[in-house]
Amino acid sequence: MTGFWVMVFLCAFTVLFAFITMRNMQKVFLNTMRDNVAALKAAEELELALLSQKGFLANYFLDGNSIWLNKLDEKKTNFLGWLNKASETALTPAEKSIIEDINLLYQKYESEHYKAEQLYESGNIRAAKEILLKDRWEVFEALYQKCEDFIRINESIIERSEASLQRKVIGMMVLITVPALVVIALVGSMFFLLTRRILASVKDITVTTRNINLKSLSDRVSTANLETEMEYLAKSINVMLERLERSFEYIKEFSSSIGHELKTPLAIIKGESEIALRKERQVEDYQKALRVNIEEANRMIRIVEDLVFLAKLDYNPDNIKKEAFDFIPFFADIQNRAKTLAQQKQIDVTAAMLKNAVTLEGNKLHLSRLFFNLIQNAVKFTPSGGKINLAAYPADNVLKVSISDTGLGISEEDLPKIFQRFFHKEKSQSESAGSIGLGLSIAKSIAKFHNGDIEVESKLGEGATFTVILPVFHA
Amino acid sequence: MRILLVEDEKNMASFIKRGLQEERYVVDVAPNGENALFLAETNPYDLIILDIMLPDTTGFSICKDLRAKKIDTFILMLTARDDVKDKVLGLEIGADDYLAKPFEFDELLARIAALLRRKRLNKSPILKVADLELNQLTHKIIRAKKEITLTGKEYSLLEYLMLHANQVITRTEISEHVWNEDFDSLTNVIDVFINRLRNKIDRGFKKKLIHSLRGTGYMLKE
Repeated sequence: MTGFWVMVFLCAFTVLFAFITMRNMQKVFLNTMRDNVAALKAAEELELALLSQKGFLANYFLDGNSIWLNKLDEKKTNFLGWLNKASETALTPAEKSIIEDINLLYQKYESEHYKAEQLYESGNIRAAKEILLKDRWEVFEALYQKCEDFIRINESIIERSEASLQRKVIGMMVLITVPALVVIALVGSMFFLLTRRILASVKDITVTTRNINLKSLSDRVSTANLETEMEYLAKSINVMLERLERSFEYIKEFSSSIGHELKTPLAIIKGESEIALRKERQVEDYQKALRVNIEEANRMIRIVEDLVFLAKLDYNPDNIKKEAFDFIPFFADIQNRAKTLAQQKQIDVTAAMLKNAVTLEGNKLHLSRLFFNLIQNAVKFTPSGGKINLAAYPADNVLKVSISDTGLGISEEDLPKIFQRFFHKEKSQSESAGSIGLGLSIAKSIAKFHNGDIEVESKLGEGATFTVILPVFHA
Repeated sequence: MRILLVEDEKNMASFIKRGLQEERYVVDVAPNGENALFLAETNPYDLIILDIMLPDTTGFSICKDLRAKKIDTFILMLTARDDVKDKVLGLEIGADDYLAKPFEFDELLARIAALLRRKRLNKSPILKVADLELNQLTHKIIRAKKEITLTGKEYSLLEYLMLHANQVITRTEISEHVWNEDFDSLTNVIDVFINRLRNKIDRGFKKKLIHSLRGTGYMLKE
């Protein structure tokens, strides 16, 4: 983990450093370029303004039209403007001295002009023209040369600043690259080590998980020497395996129980039929064999129907309809059925009636099956002459219905197992075909489906009390 | 041949018992472990068919108890559990064979016959004494090339005598191996059956095979 944060810090530092450096470089570059380009432009314009002055005075001398003089003045002003700008951009001593020279030369140029003009005005046209062609020309040439020099100087300054910029860029690149390389090397090696460690543990986990099959579901991924995150992963895989193992154990046991429960009637049907067909027999023998077969087929149907019902309760309970109903008449009906069932074994059924009306919400058919299963169970394990008591009483938003018997009771060892599917308590021979060990399990599933539960209290030899707890319905 | 069938499923026990009786076996049924141990300790069975899932105990535990008590009767485990582990466990704790439900009845018979033959020196299913032959598979009895028809009980009695040819067999031994629990030892049923056998086997032959030994029992010899 610390490795990760060091990596993040180094990366952030490099990026920040590079950003600041680039920013500075950009500023320096832009400033230099702005100054130099302005100076160069002023120099070039200055030269153009100088060149544009040529010819006007000569034209005036030819036709005496004063329009030329006006135009010349215009151009002169333009020139002086650019000269002003150029002197502003002239920063180096060389530039300054050139501007000085240009100033002086231009004054001379102007005075030559003035001289020629004076001569022309006084009528000495020849002398004026001579000055124009000779002296003034020399001054112009010199001026032009100075303007050229000024341009050269500015060009060379730009060239130089470009070169220095290039040097700076290279310097900065070195400045960035070296720490960047160091950071990359550091980060890279750390990353390599970290990923190698992670990948090694991923490989361990993969090997373990890949090798897990139905027979080795109890294997676990090792959590020793793992990075925190990988440890979380390994642990959650182990938790998942734990759950898987438990579900598989349950399914394995459950399907083996189903197999066993179905094999017994199948073996009887097969055996009974085989025996019947071994030789010619009396009609009564065939009839007996068929009756046994029907009895066993019915047992299988009952097992399959119960299993389908349990699967529906467990996995597809949305299709079961619920309605609000008054519990008192429902309970009276249960009591009557209990009495009928118990009568056959001379078991006495007593019942305590509710004083106030209670409304429940649920599926009446399934709920009566729940109570029927519990009562059937009580009757089965209560010897003749025993007692069964039914009592309903409200408590804290729930209704409790208890079914107590004076029967055999349940041993401490069996108590946690009685709601398991296919759990058989000792069965007497006469009942063996009737019990398939799903009754209590179905009752519990029905209670759970109604957001309720079934609790049991019992001691071996002291009877049992099953208490059904169901939430009361508030409209 | 007397067999103890330990089976809690009423219908299962019923057809196995009938089927075995038709094959001339004598069968007692025990519906739970307690009963099974009591019967196995009191009677000298030739074979025990043992279901594993019993209401009060398991077949494994019965098998262990019997072997611990030095009762070495052949035990054939019969169960709906056909896990290899169960088979191995059953055989390890002293069962002689193992058959998973549902089974072919003929296979059950073949396995029973094979187990019962193991005890003998002569492994052939045909028992022979002088010119008398008994085929345990077909239940055919031939003397001097003539077939003799016997009832189930007569067959069982003759088979027992032939298996112990040239040995003195007491009435008690006969009652224990040829009759089941319902046998009333005070009657002279055994003498009656011996007489019927004599009529079918020895009548008309010069050489008598069945001999009475006054006060002790009977012997079949050449």
